[in-house]
Amino acid sequence: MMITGFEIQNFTAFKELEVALSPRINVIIGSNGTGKTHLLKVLYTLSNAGELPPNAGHSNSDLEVCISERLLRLFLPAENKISALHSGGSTARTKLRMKNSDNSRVSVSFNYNSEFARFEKDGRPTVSGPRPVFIPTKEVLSLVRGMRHPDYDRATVEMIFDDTYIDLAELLVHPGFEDEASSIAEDPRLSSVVRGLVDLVGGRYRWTDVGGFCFEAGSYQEKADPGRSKSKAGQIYQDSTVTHFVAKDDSSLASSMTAEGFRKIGVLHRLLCNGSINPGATGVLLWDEPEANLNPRLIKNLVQVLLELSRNGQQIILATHDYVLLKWFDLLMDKGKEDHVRFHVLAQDPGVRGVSIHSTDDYSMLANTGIAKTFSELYDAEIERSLDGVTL
Amino acid sequence: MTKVQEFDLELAFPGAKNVIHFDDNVYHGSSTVQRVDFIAEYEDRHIFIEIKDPDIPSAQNVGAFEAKMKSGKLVQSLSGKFRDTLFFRSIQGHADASVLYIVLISMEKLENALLLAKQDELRRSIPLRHADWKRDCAASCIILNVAQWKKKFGDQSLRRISEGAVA
Repeated sequence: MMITGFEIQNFTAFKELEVALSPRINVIIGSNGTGKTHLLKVLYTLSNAGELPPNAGHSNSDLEVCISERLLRLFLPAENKISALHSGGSTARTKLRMKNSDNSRVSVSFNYNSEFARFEKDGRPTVSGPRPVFIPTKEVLSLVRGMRHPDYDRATVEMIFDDTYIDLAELLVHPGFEDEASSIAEDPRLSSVVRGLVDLVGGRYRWTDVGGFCFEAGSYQEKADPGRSKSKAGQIYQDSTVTHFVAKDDSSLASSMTAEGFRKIGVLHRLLCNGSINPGATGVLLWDEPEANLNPRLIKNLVQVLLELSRNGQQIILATHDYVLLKWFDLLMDKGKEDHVRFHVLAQDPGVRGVSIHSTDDYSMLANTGIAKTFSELYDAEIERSLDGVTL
Repeated sequence: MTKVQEFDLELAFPGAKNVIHFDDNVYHGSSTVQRVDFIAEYEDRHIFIEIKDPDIPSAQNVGAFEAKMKSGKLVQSLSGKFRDTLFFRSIQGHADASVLYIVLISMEKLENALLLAKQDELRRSIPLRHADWKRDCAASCIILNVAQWKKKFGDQSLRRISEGAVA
């Protein structure tokens, strides 16, 4: 199930937005303060709205209390009230609406003085849908150990981290096929992606009971399957080799000792290995600034991985500031493989006294983003310096 | 006013003392020296000009130009032309002239960020300076697109001939 679109009214910096999403890849672009992260969090809230804590009731009002608390835990407004998320200067209700590919909807609304958000007519989630994944800007792999420690202070952790961090830490500790004694089988569709990620950082992160996530240098190597019979060798559809991770040496490093950019790749690797991201079965992947702390040279590979996931049916929504990331999407997307990338540009719009959004499937129409302008300014300054006083 | 033509582009050099069509097979004979298209001579400087026009309406193979650009061969060729021309001119007696190298690339779809990256690459490839040199081999080196050329030197400075009047 995909999210086909969403609508936001009178919420934080947004007056009114209506967006149609690509079932493949969506890239949200905008300068700081235009609300990219807010959009991702709204979608995360709505796509997770049917998910209830284990001990919660199932009545309408139980669900409404849950989604209201959820909004507060994701946005952490200074004043811990749902009404703090209402955009100022308006008496109209805040409305958050999302539509799915199966025509189901989730929509909630609240007012500037509401205590709880209310589901609109036909807007209550009927069943718990496929679980979305949110990867926030800061790396989480090295934080898991502290966040999962038996002596940790929940209140402190929750004061520092919003629920995107806490949820991701939770997903990361699910067992993966790379863990020892794991019975989870690797998804063959993703094997090239998983190996690609390991090659990218020169090893893999594994969960250990004592040390949290540790980094093991090494790579995958193919070997003939010792279990295969000779008669099977002739059958081309029979995978006659097995791949094993071969560690370079016995040492492993605490994840906090490795580069932050590598840990971000490690997060994606882990989520694929433990089935938290399972294209077609799990929900949307929301990723806030994938480029943060990543060496620009790794971005090309990251974009290839994201395109490969989308080809397998994974809907992806990214928020970015990064020219390199955008440009690689433009250069690497392959319409022959049915790749589809939709760009959504957020900008302060004096006309509507808020942030407006403009969506396009055409990269060449993105000339007016802050990112492109930055390079134009650089280029102008360079020409000015190089040709100072020169006339023909 | 001195005007020169490179296929479909016409360039004007109103203040130049002299503009030499340097990439002239007759002049260079059987030599395979690499050369820039034009040299515009001014009182205080000589400007080397190399023109790449993949946006020419009759272009047969824009893909080849893009491939050349991506492979790094374009930058190699641009720096080679500069070095050979500089060598030729030094022996010719212009060793002391202050030299400026301007490359005009007409490819509109090339973004500023990419032009900027190619330009930095070109400067390293020439190279403009060396720790053991007494001075830089060129005062400057820049890659311009059509819009930037016109912005810097005026709308009258560059014309696409097939489009008729000054665009």
